[in-house]
Amino acid sequence: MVELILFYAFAGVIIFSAMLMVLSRNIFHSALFLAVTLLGVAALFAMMGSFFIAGIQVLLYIGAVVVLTIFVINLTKQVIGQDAPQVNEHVIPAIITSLLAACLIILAVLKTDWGTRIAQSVAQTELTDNTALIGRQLLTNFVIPFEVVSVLLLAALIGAIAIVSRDKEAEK
Amino acid sequence: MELIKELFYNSGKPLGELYTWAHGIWAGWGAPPFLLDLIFQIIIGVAVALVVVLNALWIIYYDRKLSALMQIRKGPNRVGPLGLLQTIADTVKLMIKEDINPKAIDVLSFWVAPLIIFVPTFAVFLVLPFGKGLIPADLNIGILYVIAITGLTVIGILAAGWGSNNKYSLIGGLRSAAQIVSYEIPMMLVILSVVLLSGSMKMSDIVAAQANYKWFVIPQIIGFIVFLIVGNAEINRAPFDLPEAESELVAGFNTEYSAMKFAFFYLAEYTNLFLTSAIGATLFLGGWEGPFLPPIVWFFIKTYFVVTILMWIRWTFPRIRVDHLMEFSWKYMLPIALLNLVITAIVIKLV
Repeated sequence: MVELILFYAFAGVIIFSAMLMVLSRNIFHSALFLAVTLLGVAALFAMMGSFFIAGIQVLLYIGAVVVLTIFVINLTKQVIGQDAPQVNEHVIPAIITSLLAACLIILAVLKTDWGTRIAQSVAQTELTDNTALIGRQLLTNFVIPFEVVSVLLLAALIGAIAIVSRDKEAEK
Repeated sequence: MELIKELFYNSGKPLGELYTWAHGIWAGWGAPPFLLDLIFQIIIGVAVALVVVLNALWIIYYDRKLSALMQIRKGPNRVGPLGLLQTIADTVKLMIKEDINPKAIDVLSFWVAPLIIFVPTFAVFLVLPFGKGLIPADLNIGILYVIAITGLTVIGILAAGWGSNNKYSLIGGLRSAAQIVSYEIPMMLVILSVVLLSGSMKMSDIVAAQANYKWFVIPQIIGFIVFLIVGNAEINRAPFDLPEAESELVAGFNTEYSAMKFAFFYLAEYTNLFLTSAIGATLFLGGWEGPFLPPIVWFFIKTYFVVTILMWIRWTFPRIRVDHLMEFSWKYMLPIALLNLVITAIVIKLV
Protein backbone atom coordinates (compact mmCIF):
# COMPACT_ATOMS: atom_id res chain seq x y z
CA MET A 1 0.00 0.00 0.00
CA VAL A 2 2.71 2.44 1.04
CA GLU A 3 4.83 1.28 -1.87
CA LEU A 4 1.96 1.90 -4.26
CA ILE A 5 1.47 5.46 -2.98
CA LEU A 6 5.22 6.11 -3.19
CA PHE A 7 5.34 4.66 -6.69
CA TYR A 8 2.55 6.94 -7.90
CA ALA A 9 4.19 9.92 -6.21
CA PHE A 10 7.52 9.27 -7.92
CA ALA A 11 5.86 8.47 -11.24
CA GLY A 12 3.93 11.74 -10.98
CA VAL A 13 7.14 13.64 -10.28
CA ILE A 14 8.87 11.98 -13.24
CA ILE A 15 6.07 12.69 -15.71
CA PHE A 16 5.42 16.22 -14.45
CA SER A 17 9.08 17.26 -14.51
CA ALA A 18 9.61 15.61 -17.90
CA MET A 19 6.72 17.65 -19.26
CA LEU A 20 8.12 20.80 -17.69
CA MET A 21 11.48 20.00 -19.22
CA VAL A 22 10.00 19.82 -22.71
CA LEU A 23 7.62 22.74 -22.30
CA SER A 24 9.89 25.17 -20.44
CA ARG A 25 11.02 28.05 -22.63
CA ASN A 26 14.21 28.56 -20.65
CA ILE A 27 16.90 26.05 -21.57
CA PHE A 28 18.57 26.23 -18.15
CA HIS A 29 15.29 25.38 -16.44
CA SER A 30 14.91 22.46 -18.84
CA ALA A 31 18.25 21.10 -17.67
CA LEU A 32 17.20 21.43 -14.01
CA PHE A 33 13.92 19.60 -14.68
CA LEU A 34 15.86 16.90 -16.52
CA ALA A 35 17.87 16.38 -13.32
CA VAL A 36 14.62 16.03 -11.34
CA THR A 37 13.28 13.50 -13.84
CA LEU A 38 16.43 11.38 -13.65
CA LEU A 39 16.38 11.57 -9.85
CA GLY A 40 12.82 10.26 -9.91
CA VAL A 41 13.89 7.33 -12.09
CA ALA A 42 16.70 6.62 -9.63
CA ALA A 43 14.13 6.61 -6.82
CA LEU A 44 12.09 4.01 -8.74
CA PHE A 45 15.20 1.84 -9.12
CA ALA A 46 15.83 2.15 -5.39
CA MET A 47 12.23 1.14 -4.67
CA MET A 48 12.78 -2.04 -6.68
CA GLY A 49 15.78 -2.86 -4.50
CA SER A 50 18.36 -2.12 -7.21
CA PHE A 51 20.37 0.31 -5.10
CA PHE A 52 23.45 -0.10 -7.25
CA ILE A 53 21.62 0.87 -10.44
CA ALA A 54 20.01 3.78 -8.59
CA GLY A 55 23.41 5.00 -7.40
CA ILE A 56 24.92 4.68 -10.86
CA GLN A 57 21.91 6.47 -12.34
CA VAL A 58 22.48 9.45 -10.05
CA LEU A 59 26.25 9.37 -10.47
CA LEU A 60 26.35 9.13 -14.26
CA TYR A 61 23.17 10.73 -15.49
CA ILE A 62 22.92 13.60 -13.04
CA GLY A 63 26.52 13.90 -11.86
CA ALA A 64 27.95 13.71 -15.35
CA VAL A 65 25.42 14.13 -18.17
CA VAL A 66 23.27 16.90 -16.66
CA VAL A 67 26.31 18.68 -15.24
CA LEU A 68 27.97 18.69 -18.67
CA THR A 69 24.72 19.90 -20.25
CA ILE A 70 24.49 22.77 -17.77
CA PHE A 71 28.18 23.49 -18.29
CA VAL A 72 27.62 23.84 -22.03
CA ILE A 73 24.57 26.04 -21.46
CA ASN A 74 26.68 28.26 -19.22
CA LEU A 75 29.25 28.62 -21.98
CA THR A 76 26.71 29.76 -24.56
CA LYS A 77 25.98 33.42 -24.91
CA GLN A 78 22.31 33.15 -24.09
CA VAL A 79 21.30 36.00 -21.81
CA ILE A 80 19.00 35.48 -18.84
CA GLY A 81 15.42 36.46 -19.55
CA GLN A 82 15.72 35.74 -23.25
CA ASP A 83 13.53 32.72 -23.87
CA ALA A 84 14.10 30.65 -26.94
CA PRO A 85 11.14 28.60 -28.16
CA GLN A 86 11.85 24.90 -27.83
CA VAL A 87 9.50 23.68 -30.58
CA ASN A 88 10.27 23.69 -34.26
CA GLU A 89 8.12 23.39 -37.35
CA HIS A 90 8.23 19.62 -37.80
CA VAL A 91 4.93 18.84 -36.14
CA ILE A 92 3.79 15.91 -38.30
CA PRO A 93 7.08 13.90 -38.17
CA ALA A 94 7.16 14.54 -34.43
CA ILE A 95 3.64 13.17 -33.99
CA ILE A 96 4.46 10.07 -36.05
CA THR A 97 7.66 9.36 -34.09
CA SER A 98 5.94 9.84 -30.73
CA LEU A 99 3.06 7.59 -31.73
CA LEU A 100 5.45 4.88 -32.89
CA ALA A 101 7.45 5.12 -29.67
CA ALA A 102 4.24 4.97 -27.62
CA CYS A 103 3.09 1.88 -29.57
CA LEU A 104 6.43 0.20 -28.92
CA ILE A 105 6.26 0.86 -25.18
CA ILE A 106 2.62 -0.26 -24.91
CA LEU A 107 3.38 -3.43 -26.86
CA ALA A 108 6.36 -4.18 -24.64
CA VAL A 109 4.24 -3.66 -21.50
CA LEU A 110 1.43 -5.88 -22.79
CA LYS A 111 3.68 -8.67 -24.04
CA THR A 112 5.63 -9.07 -20.82
CA ASP A 113 4.57 -11.83 -18.44
CA TRP A 114 4.66 -9.68 -15.31
CA GLY A 115 3.80 -12.41 -12.79
CA THR A 116 6.86 -14.59 -13.38
CA ARG A 117 9.08 -11.55 -13.97
CA ILE A 118 8.25 -10.03 -10.60
CA ALA A 119 8.66 -13.38 -8.84
CA GLN A 120 12.08 -13.79 -10.47
CA SER A 121 13.33 -10.35 -9.59
CA VAL A 122 12.07 -10.58 -6.00
CA ALA A 123 13.86 -13.90 -5.61
CA GLN A 124 17.03 -12.41 -7.06
CA THR A 125 17.12 -9.25 -4.98
CA GLU A 126 16.45 -11.12 -1.76
CA LEU A 127 19.16 -13.64 -2.61
CA THR A 128 22.17 -11.39 -2.10
CA ASP A 129 23.23 -7.79 -2.43
CA ASN A 130 23.04 -7.21 -6.13
CA THR A 131 26.30 -5.25 -6.45
CA ALA A 132 28.33 -8.45 -6.20
CA LEU A 133 25.81 -10.16 -8.47
CA ILE A 134 26.16 -7.50 -11.16
CA GLY A 135 29.95 -7.61 -10.92
CA ARG A 136 30.03 -11.39 -11.25
CA GLN A 137 27.63 -11.35 -14.21
CA LEU A 138 29.65 -8.62 -15.96
CA LEU A 139 32.86 -10.62 -15.76
CA THR A 140 31.38 -14.03 -16.65
CA ASN A 141 28.24 -14.15 -18.79
CA PHE A 142 28.48 -10.64 -20.21
CA VAL A 143 32.23 -10.26 -20.50
CA ILE A 144 32.19 -9.69 -24.29
CA PRO A 145 29.67 -6.83 -24.28
CA PHE A 146 31.53 -5.38 -21.29
CA GLU A 147 34.82 -5.39 -23.17
CA VAL A 148 33.19 -4.03 -26.32
CA VAL A 149 31.82 -1.09 -24.33
CA SER A 150 35.21 -0.39 -22.80
CA VAL A 151 36.86 -0.44 -26.25
CA LEU A 152 34.18 1.98 -27.46
CA LEU A 153 34.90 4.31 -24.53
CA LEU A 154 38.62 4.09 -25.22
CA ALA A 155 38.00 5.00 -28.86
CA ALA A 156 35.92 7.99 -27.76
CA LEU A 157 38.70 9.10 -25.40
CA ILE A 158 41.36 8.86 -28.10
CA GLY A 159 39.05 10.70 -30.50
CA ALA A 160 38.57 13.54 -28.02
CA ILE A 161 42.32 13.84 -27.48
CA ALA A 162 42.92 13.79 -31.26
CA ILE A 163 40.38 16.59 -31.84
CA VAL A 164 41.87 18.75 -29.07
CA SER A 165 45.47 18.29 -30.20
CA ARG A 166 44.54 19.08 -33.83
CA ASP A 167 43.23 22.49 -32.71
CA LYS A 168 46.46 23.13 -30.86
CA GLU A 169 48.53 22.42 -33.93
CA ALA A 170 46.36 24.75 -36.00
CA GLU A 171 47.03 27.55 -33.49
CA LYS A 172 50.76 27.19 -33.96
CA MET B 1 23.80 1.88 34.65
CA GLU B 2 24.30 -1.19 32.49
CA LEU B 3 21.83 0.23 29.98
CA ILE B 4 23.64 3.56 29.76
CA LYS B 5 26.95 1.77 29.23
CA GLU B 6 25.38 -0.36 26.52
CA LEU B 7 23.81 2.73 24.93
CA PHE B 8 27.19 4.38 24.58
CA TYR B 9 29.39 1.43 23.70
CA ASN B 10 27.06 -0.78 21.66
CA SER B 11 24.32 1.58 20.55
CA GLY B 12 22.82 -0.76 17.97
CA LYS B 13 21.54 -3.33 20.49
CA PRO B 14 19.54 -1.16 22.93
CA LEU B 15 18.22 0.96 20.06
CA GLY B 16 17.12 -2.18 18.24
CA GLU B 17 15.39 -3.39 21.42
CA LEU B 18 13.67 -0.02 21.78
CA TYR B 19 12.52 -0.32 18.16
CA THR B 20 11.01 -3.81 18.60
CA TRP B 21 9.45 -2.79 21.95
CA ALA B 22 7.83 0.29 20.41
CA HIS B 23 6.58 -1.79 17.50
CA GLY B 24 5.01 -4.29 19.92
CA ILE B 25 3.07 -1.54 21.70
CA TRP B 26 2.15 0.06 18.38
CA ALA B 27 0.79 -3.25 17.06
CA GLY B 28 -1.28 -3.54 20.26
CA TRP B 29 -3.03 -0.29 19.28
CA GLY B 30 -3.76 -1.71 15.86
CA ALA B 31 -2.03 1.14 14.01
CA PRO B 32 -0.22 0.48 10.71
CA PRO B 33 3.50 -0.21 11.37
CA PHE B 34 4.81 2.06 8.61
CA LEU B 35 3.52 5.11 10.50
CA LEU B 36 5.76 4.26 13.46
CA ASP B 37 8.68 3.77 11.06
CA LEU B 38 7.91 7.18 9.62
CA ILE B 39 7.91 8.71 13.11
CA PHE B 40 11.25 7.05 13.88
CA GLN B 41 12.69 8.31 10.60
CA ILE B 42 11.53 11.84 11.33
CA ILE B 43 13.15 11.67 14.80
CA ILE B 44 16.42 10.45 13.24
CA GLY B 45 16.21 13.20 10.61
CA VAL B 46 15.73 15.89 13.26
CA ALA B 47 18.62 14.47 15.29
CA VAL B 48 20.91 14.55 12.24
CA ALA B 49 19.80 18.11 11.46
CA LEU B 50 20.70 19.10 15.03
CA VAL B 51 24.13 17.50 14.64
CA VAL B 52 24.63 19.39 11.36
CA VAL B 53 23.73 22.79 12.79
CA LEU B 54 25.52 22.46 16.13
CA ASN B 55 28.59 21.01 14.44
CA ALA B 56 28.68 23.86 11.91
CA LEU B 57 28.51 26.42 14.72
CA TRP B 58 31.48 24.82 16.45
CA ILE B 59 33.53 24.04 13.34
CA ILE B 60 33.37 27.65 12.09
CA TYR B 61 34.59 28.87 15.48
CA TYR B 62 37.32 26.22 15.44
CA ASP B 63 38.39 27.25 11.92
CA ARG B 64 38.65 30.90 12.94
CA LYS B 65 40.52 30.17 16.15
CA LEU B 66 42.95 27.81 14.41
CA SER B 67 43.63 30.29 11.62
CA ALA B 68 44.24 32.97 14.26
CA LEU B 69 46.71 30.68 16.00
CA MET B 70 48.58 30.11 12.74
CA GLN B 71 48.66 33.80 11.84
CA ILE B 72 49.58 34.89 15.40
CA ARG B 73 46.29 36.73 15.93
CA LYS B 74 43.70 36.34 18.66
CA GLY B 75 40.68 35.43 16.56
CA PRO B 76 37.14 35.88 17.88
CA ASN B 77 37.41 36.84 21.58
CA ARG B 78 34.67 39.39 22.32
CA VAL B 79 31.30 37.60 22.27
CA GLY B 80 31.05 35.25 25.22
CA PRO B 81 33.97 33.53 26.98
CA LEU B 82 36.87 33.05 24.52
CA GLY B 83 34.55 34.31 21.78
CA LEU B 84 32.60 31.06 21.90
CA LEU B 85 29.30 32.77 21.13
CA GLN B 86 30.67 34.57 18.07
CA THR B 87 29.23 32.11 15.55
CA ILE B 88 25.81 32.21 17.21
CA ALA B 89 25.85 36.01 16.94
CA ASP B 90 26.83 35.73 13.27
CA THR B 91 24.06 33.24 12.62
CA VAL B 92 21.46 35.49 14.22
CA LYS B 93 22.80 38.38 12.17
CA LEU B 94 22.47 36.37 8.95
CA MET B 95 18.91 35.36 9.87
CA ILE B 96 17.62 38.87 10.52
CA LYS B 97 19.39 40.51 7.58
CA GLU B 98 17.46 41.71 4.56
CA ASP B 99 17.21 39.11 1.81
CA ILE B 100 18.32 41.01 -1.28
CA ASN B 101 17.23 39.67 -4.66
CA PRO B 102 18.86 41.50 -7.56
CA LYS B 103 16.51 42.57 -10.35
CA ALA B 104 18.14 40.72 -13.25
CA ILE B 105 18.36 37.25 -11.70
CA ASP B 106 16.82 34.09 -13.05
CA VAL B 107 14.37 33.53 -10.21
CA LEU B 108 14.06 29.73 -10.27
CA SER B 109 17.79 28.99 -10.43
CA PHE B 110 18.65 31.72 -7.93
CA TRP B 111 16.18 30.45 -5.34
CA VAL B 112 16.70 26.76 -5.81
CA ALA B 113 20.54 26.81 -5.85
CA PRO B 114 21.12 27.05 -2.05
CA LEU B 115 18.73 24.12 -1.59
CA ILE B 116 20.41 21.96 -4.25
CA ILE B 117 23.72 22.59 -2.52
CA PHE B 118 22.49 21.97 1.01
CA VAL B 119 20.11 19.01 0.62
CA PRO B 120 22.68 16.48 -0.76
CA THR B 121 25.11 17.52 1.97
CA PHE B 122 22.45 16.75 4.54
CA ALA B 123 21.48 13.50 2.78
CA VAL B 124 25.02 12.08 3.00
CA PHE B 125 24.57 11.77 6.80
CA LEU B 126 22.22 8.87 6.02
CA VAL B 127 25.12 6.42 5.71
CA LEU B 128 27.60 7.91 8.20
CA PRO B 129 28.51 5.36 10.92
CA PHE B 130 28.66 7.44 14.11
CA GLY B 131 29.20 4.42 16.33
CA LYS B 132 28.59 0.72 16.72
CA GLY B 133 25.15 0.24 15.18
CA LEU B 134 24.64 3.99 15.24
CA ILE B 135 24.07 4.54 11.54
CA PRO B 136 20.83 6.03 10.18
CA ALA B 137 20.64 3.55 7.28
CA ASP B 138 23.27 0.93 6.49
CA LEU B 139 22.80 0.86 2.73
CA ASN B 140 24.34 -1.87 0.62
CA ILE B 141 25.92 0.70 -1.66
CA GLY B 142 27.09 2.94 1.24
CA ILE B 143 30.12 4.67 -0.20
CA LEU B 144 28.75 4.72 -3.76
CA TYR B 145 25.72 6.56 -2.36
CA VAL B 146 28.06 9.15 -0.86
CA ILE B 147 29.85 9.70 -4.19
CA ALA B 148 26.60 9.86 -6.14
CA ILE B 149 24.85 12.27 -3.79
CA THR B 150 27.77 14.66 -3.33
CA GLY B 151 27.98 14.91 -7.14
CA LEU B 152 24.62 16.68 -7.07
CA THR B 153 26.02 19.80 -5.39
CA VAL B 154 27.73 20.79 -8.65
CA ILE B 155 24.33 21.49 -10.17
CA GLY B 156 23.56 23.85 -7.30
CA ILE B 157 26.82 25.72 -7.77
CA LEU B 158 26.24 26.03 -11.52
CA ALA B 159 22.66 27.17 -10.92
CA ALA B 160 23.87 29.80 -8.45
CA GLY B 161 26.49 31.02 -10.90
CA TRP B 162 24.13 31.19 -13.84
CA GLY B 163 21.05 32.43 -12.00
CA SER B 164 22.87 35.40 -10.45
CA ASN B 165 23.41 36.91 -13.90
CA ASN B 166 26.78 38.25 -12.84
CA LYS B 167 30.08 37.62 -14.61
CA TYR B 168 31.96 36.84 -11.40
CA SER B 169 29.30 34.36 -10.30
CA LEU B 170 29.28 32.70 -13.71
CA ILE B 171 33.06 32.26 -13.81
CA GLY B 172 33.05 31.01 -10.23
CA GLY B 173 30.32 28.48 -11.03
CA LEU B 174 32.10 27.22 -14.13
CA ARG B 175 35.42 26.91 -12.35
CA SER B 176 33.81 25.05 -9.49
CA ALA B 177 32.03 22.59 -11.76
CA ALA B 178 35.17 21.86 -13.78
CA GLN B 179 37.17 21.46 -10.59
CA ILE B 180 34.74 19.15 -8.80
CA VAL B 181 34.15 16.98 -11.87
CA SER B 182 37.87 16.48 -12.50
CA TYR B 183 38.82 15.91 -8.88
CA GLU B 184 35.97 13.45 -8.43
CA ILE B 185 37.78 10.87 -10.58
CA PRO B 186 40.93 10.43 -8.43
CA MET B 187 38.60 10.49 -5.40
CA MET B 188 36.60 7.58 -6.80
CA LEU B 189 39.76 5.61 -7.63
CA VAL B 190 41.07 6.05 -4.09
CA ILE B 191 37.73 4.99 -2.62
CA LEU B 192 37.73 2.02 -4.99
CA SER B 193 41.08 0.88 -3.56
CA VAL B 194 39.54 0.94 -0.08
CA VAL B 195 36.51 -0.98 -1.35
CA LEU B 196 38.88 -3.55 -2.85
CA LEU B 197 40.54 -4.00 0.53
CA SER B 198 37.30 -4.28 2.50
CA GLY B 199 35.40 -6.24 -0.16
CA SER B 200 32.21 -4.27 0.41
CA MET B 201 30.72 -0.84 -0.18
CA LYS B 202 28.66 -1.03 3.01
CA MET B 203 29.93 1.49 5.56
CA SER B 204 29.58 -0.93 8.50
CA ASP B 205 31.53 -3.60 6.57
CA ILE B 206 34.31 -1.12 5.77
CA VAL B 207 34.61 -0.32 9.49
CA ALA B 208 34.41 -4.01 10.38
CA ALA B 209 37.19 -4.84 7.89
CA GLN B 210 39.49 -2.52 9.85
CA ALA B 211 38.76 -4.15 13.22
CA ASN B 212 41.62 -4.83 15.65
CA TYR B 213 43.44 -1.68 14.52
CA LYS B 214 44.22 -2.90 11.01
CA TRP B 215 43.43 0.57 9.73
CA PHE B 216 43.54 1.11 6.01
CA VAL B 217 45.75 4.15 6.46
CA ILE B 218 48.79 1.85 6.65
CA PRO B 219 48.36 -0.15 3.40
CA GLN B 220 46.71 2.85 1.76
CA ILE B 221 48.99 5.67 2.92
CA ILE B 222 49.28 7.01 -0.64
CA GLY B 223 45.53 6.71 -1.00
CA PHE B 224 45.00 8.64 2.24
CA ILE B 225 47.27 11.49 1.12
CA VAL B 226 45.54 11.66 -2.28
CA PHE B 227 42.19 11.57 -0.47
CA LEU B 228 43.16 14.55 1.69
CA ILE B 229 44.33 16.63 -1.29
CA VAL B 230 41.42 15.72 -3.54
CA GLY B 231 38.90 16.06 -0.71
CA ASN B 232 40.18 19.55 -0.05
CA ALA B 233 39.68 20.39 -3.73
CA GLU B 234 36.18 18.92 -3.80
CA ILE B 235 34.95 21.14 -0.99
CA ASN B 236 36.41 24.25 -2.64
CA ARG B 237 38.75 25.23 0.16
CA ALA B 238 42.17 26.81 -0.15
CA PRO B 239 44.55 26.14 -1.84
CA PHE B 240 41.82 25.02 -4.26
CA ASP B 241 39.30 27.80 -3.57
CA LEU B 242 39.41 29.09 -7.15
CA PRO B 243 35.59 29.18 -7.40
CA GLU B 244 35.50 31.93 -4.79
CA ALA B 245 38.91 33.47 -5.20
CA GLU B 246 38.34 36.86 -3.57
CA SER B 247 41.16 38.65 -5.36
CA GLU B 248 39.78 37.87 -8.81
CA LEU B 249 36.09 36.96 -8.47
CA VAL B 250 34.75 39.05 -5.50
CA ALA B 251 33.18 35.96 -3.87
CA GLY B 252 32.64 33.62 -6.80
CA PHE B 253 29.35 31.88 -7.30
CA ASN B 254 27.76 33.32 -4.15
CA THR B 255 28.55 36.98 -4.87
CA GLU B 256 24.91 38.01 -5.23
CA TYR B 257 23.62 36.04 -2.26
CA SER B 258 22.74 37.53 1.08
CA ALA B 259 21.06 36.71 4.39
CA MET B 260 19.65 33.17 4.82
CA LYS B 261 20.49 32.07 1.26
CA PHE B 262 24.12 32.95 1.87
CA ALA B 263 23.93 31.19 5.23
CA PHE B 264 22.95 28.00 3.41
CA PHE B 265 26.10 28.16 1.27
CA TYR B 266 28.19 28.79 4.35
CA LEU B 267 26.55 25.97 6.28
CA ALA B 268 26.97 23.58 3.34
CA GLU B 269 30.65 24.49 3.00
CA TYR B 270 31.50 23.72 6.60
CA THR B 271 29.25 20.65 6.72
CA ASN B 272 31.05 19.39 3.63
CA LEU B 273 34.35 19.89 5.43
CA PHE B 274 33.04 17.79 8.31
CA LEU B 275 31.63 15.15 5.95
CA THR B 276 34.83 14.75 3.95
CA SER B 277 36.75 14.34 7.19
CA ALA B 278 34.22 11.89 8.58
CA ILE B 279 34.37 9.77 5.44
CA GLY B 280 38.17 9.93 5.51
CA ALA B 281 38.14 8.81 9.14
CA THR B 282 35.75 5.97 8.33
CA LEU B 283 37.60 4.76 5.26
CA PHE B 284 41.17 5.09 6.48
CA LEU B 285 41.28 5.52 10.26
CA GLY B 286 39.05 2.68 11.37
CA GLY B 287 35.84 4.66 11.83
CA TRP B 288 34.49 4.60 15.38
CA GLU B 289 36.95 1.98 16.63
CA GLY B 290 39.13 2.86 19.62
CA PRO B 291 39.99 1.88 23.19
CA PHE B 292 38.20 2.93 26.44
CA LEU B 293 36.14 5.83 25.13
CA PRO B 294 32.69 5.25 23.57
CA PRO B 295 32.71 4.73 19.76
CA ILE B 296 30.88 7.99 19.06
CA VAL B 297 33.60 9.96 20.89
CA TRP B 298 36.28 8.20 18.85
CA PHE B 299 34.35 8.97 15.69
CA PHE B 300 34.39 12.67 16.48
CA ILE B 301 38.04 12.63 17.62
CA LYS B 302 39.18 11.02 14.37
CA THR B 303 36.95 13.25 12.27
CA TYR B 304 38.31 16.35 13.96
CA PHE B 305 41.84 15.05 13.49
CA VAL B 306 41.23 15.03 9.72
CA VAL B 307 39.42 18.39 9.96
CA THR B 308 42.50 19.84 11.63
CA ILE B 309 44.77 18.52 8.87
CA LEU B 310 42.50 20.05 6.22
CA MET B 311 42.43 23.41 8.06
CA TRP B 312 46.19 23.29 8.48
CA ILE B 313 46.55 22.83 4.70
CA ARG B 314 44.05 25.61 4.11
CA TRP B 315 45.77 28.23 6.23
CA THR B 316 49.37 27.50 5.20
CA PHE B 317 49.29 27.15 1.42
CA PRO B 318 48.70 29.98 -1.05
CA ARG B 319 46.00 29.59 -3.68
CA ILE B 320 46.96 27.42 -6.66
CA ARG B 321 46.99 29.15 -10.06
CA VAL B 322 43.96 28.46 -12.22
CA ASP B 323 45.89 26.92 -15.13
CA HIS B 324 47.75 24.62 -12.72
CA LEU B 325 44.53 23.41 -11.18
CA MET B 326 43.42 21.05 -13.95
CA GLU B 327 46.99 19.93 -14.65
CA PHE B 328 47.43 18.98 -11.01
CA SER B 329 44.37 16.75 -11.10
CA TRP B 330 44.85 15.09 -14.48
CA LYS B 331 48.63 14.79 -14.60
CA TYR B 332 49.46 14.03 -10.97
CA MET B 333 46.49 12.99 -8.85
CA LEU B 334 44.85 10.72 -11.43
CA PRO B 335 47.97 8.65 -12.33
CA ILE B 336 48.92 8.29 -8.66
CA ALA B 337 45.43 7.16 -7.72
CA LEU B 338 45.28 4.78 -10.68
CA LEU B 339 48.67 3.28 -9.84
CA ASN B 340 47.60 2.92 -6.22
CA LEU B 341 44.50 1.03 -7.34
CA VAL B 342 46.45 -1.31 -9.62
CA ILE B 343 49.07 -2.04 -6.95
CA THR B 344 46.32 -2.67 -4.36
CA ALA B 345 44.61 -5.11 -6.73
CA ILE B 346 47.86 -6.97 -7.48
CA VAL B 347 48.82 -7.20 -3.80
CA ILE B 348 45.36 -8.50 -2.85
CA LYS B 349 45.60 -11.11 -5.60
CA LEU B 350 49.06 -12.24 -4.52
CA VAL B 351 48.58 -12.31 -0.74
